[in-house]
Amino acid sequence: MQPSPVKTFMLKVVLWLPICFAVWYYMRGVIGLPTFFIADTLMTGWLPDFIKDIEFKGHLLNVVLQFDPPANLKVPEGQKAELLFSVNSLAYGYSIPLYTALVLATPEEERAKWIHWTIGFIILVLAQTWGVSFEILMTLLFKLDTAMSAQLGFSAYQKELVALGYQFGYLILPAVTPLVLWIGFHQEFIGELVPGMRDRFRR
Amino acid sequence: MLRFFIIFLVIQGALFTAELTRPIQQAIVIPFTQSIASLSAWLVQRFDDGVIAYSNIIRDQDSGFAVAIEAGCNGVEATIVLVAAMLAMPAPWKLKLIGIASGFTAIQAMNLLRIITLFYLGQWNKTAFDWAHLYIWQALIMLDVLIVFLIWLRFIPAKRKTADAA
Repeated sequence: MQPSPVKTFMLKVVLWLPICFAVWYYMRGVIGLPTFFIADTLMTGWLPDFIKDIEFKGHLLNVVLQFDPPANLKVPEGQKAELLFSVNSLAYGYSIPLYTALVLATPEEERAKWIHWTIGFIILVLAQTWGVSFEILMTLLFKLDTAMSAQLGFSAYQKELVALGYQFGYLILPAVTPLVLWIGFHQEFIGELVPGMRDRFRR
Repeated sequence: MLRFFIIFLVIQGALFTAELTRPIQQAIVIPFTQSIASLSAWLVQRFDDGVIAYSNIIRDQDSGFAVAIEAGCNGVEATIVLVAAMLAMPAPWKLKLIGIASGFTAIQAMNLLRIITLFYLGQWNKTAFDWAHLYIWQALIMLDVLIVFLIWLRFIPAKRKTADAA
């Protein structure tokens, strides 16, 4: 009796997954670089008066803030207060090993695999950057002293959008993007897993 | 395929935004999350009577270790993804409803396993807990969604070639 193609495929994914997670974790200092560069450029470019610098340490983005000190904080005259907080970029990046395992478990030509993986990786880096950037914004707006976050000048409506963007970037994007990419790139293979699939999508 | 993705993204965006609104949180998400915590505790109590649940928290009475089931831990987002995918597919409504009901059950069963394993992992090792919580289980739950969706697709009746017959 032939095993179900879905079962065989999923078994391969489950076998690839721990390997992909291990490589992803040990290479985090390199894999996380594009996210760091984009987030750093975006955030320090957009809010240069508040975000002094973003440093990349392992998988943590250390965000250095500078603020006009609130009344209860004493700093030397003429200087600004500095504050540092960290964002765990891996929390938004688990989609990369998941997508890699899906691609590796899919039978297709080597060249196609590389192309699909590379395009997918770029999109997943952008999704990760979304998550990291919105966590930085969310921290600035909702976790700091209200007098400090008021200096950003966000309206109540903009704050709501940031909260929505953060939740979307944390709960939905890393989970959905790898599946959407895999389905989008592997319709032919899905057609083998599910006979008659192409006709169903065309309806 | 493009039509499927557009409908999928629109439904998913709408359901996710609705999920975050206060009325839906109060009426559905919070009570549901609390019931997940109670059900998890009830299951654990079958083999470990030192566990209690209150609100959305499960606590081990001996060690004092507790986990709180928050947004992202209740399986609601994974269910939203699956519901959006099934609604976006051209399929009979009866099959969609059956798919949503069985998919919901499969996701929640996997999620209960996740909560219980995390509860014990956390008491054993904080690093292992963080890894499983933030990365591994997130990926496994989405694989569960993908498996359910692929299996469900096989039940959709093939398109009748009426145009060819005519």
